[in-house]
Amino acid sequence: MTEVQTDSLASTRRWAIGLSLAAAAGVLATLWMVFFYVPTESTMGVVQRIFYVHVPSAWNAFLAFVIVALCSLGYLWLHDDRLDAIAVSAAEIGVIFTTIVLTTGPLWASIAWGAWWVWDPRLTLTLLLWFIYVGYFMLRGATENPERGKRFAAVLGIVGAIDIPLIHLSVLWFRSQHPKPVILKPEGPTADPRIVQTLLLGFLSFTLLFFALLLLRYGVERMRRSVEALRYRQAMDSPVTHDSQGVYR
Amino acid sequence: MRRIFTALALALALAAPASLPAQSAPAVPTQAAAQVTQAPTEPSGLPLNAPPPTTLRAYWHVFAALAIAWLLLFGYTLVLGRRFATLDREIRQLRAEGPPA
Repeated sequence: MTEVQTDSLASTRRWAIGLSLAAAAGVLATLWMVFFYVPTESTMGVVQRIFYVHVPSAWNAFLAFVIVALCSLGYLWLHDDRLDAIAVSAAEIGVIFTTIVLTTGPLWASIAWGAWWVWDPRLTLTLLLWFIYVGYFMLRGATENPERGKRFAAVLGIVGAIDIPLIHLSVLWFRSQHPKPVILKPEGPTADPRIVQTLLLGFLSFTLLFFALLLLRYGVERMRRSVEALRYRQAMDSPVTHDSQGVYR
Repeated sequence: MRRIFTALALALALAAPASLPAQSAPAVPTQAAAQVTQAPTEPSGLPLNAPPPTTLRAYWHVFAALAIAWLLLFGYTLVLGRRFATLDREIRQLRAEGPPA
């Protein structure tokens, strides 16, 4: 167990505050564009505006789980505790963003498709992704040896990321009700330029928000481990005594 | 065997009228259908494929989606801030206590 350096924590906090301010400005600009700038889509109408929250949230979830997989791989290889701290932080934020995807999607679908949920490949695989990373936290807590739990969770973090390309390609591989990509296409984006601009600003502001949250969560994780280390050290240094009932203290 | 053939013939005879209209659908569009494809306009002069009506329900769904997203993110940030403050206090306390004598 390692104790966190106060200087590095202060630096993390400064970066988190700076990124949060930039993200807040970006998000406000995106919201203004969503309501006053972007045109109403011709087939789905007003409800299509959910797109500007739904798609950047999905992007952030994928980014988070890719970070989990890379840091887990690094942790298994180098046994660096900081990589595990980044992985667990990214996983938590990824679950938050996947929850946003899974709640905003049905709100959009109920108007566009007339059904809150269909067992479409993309929807089902996204739900599976959410379950995998909720399981990631359950696995960490389920083992008696914390180091073992970290290793098991790292393996699940890597395996779970395989679902990400499957989600992206599922609309191309299978017959799907979910719309196909409108921006990430080989021939370039085909949507109205104002839709593309609003979406790109949404991507940028959500990505800034993601990194601000990641830094904040990473700082919290390092502090939590520091508290554990300090308690452990105090417990090791204190003389073993027992009270009148024979309970060791 | 004869009974089977009779039943089969009867079934075919019953099924044929139902399937006939579908098979005998005109290959060339009628005048009315041609009018619909050529002049897709409403009495008001607006095209039929104009944007769908902006119903209050659709707006409600947009606001609900945004509210859920921002509540989750804002709530999570608050939880993180509180965790940060609690842990910071605990670290200061543990450092102040120092190693036991």
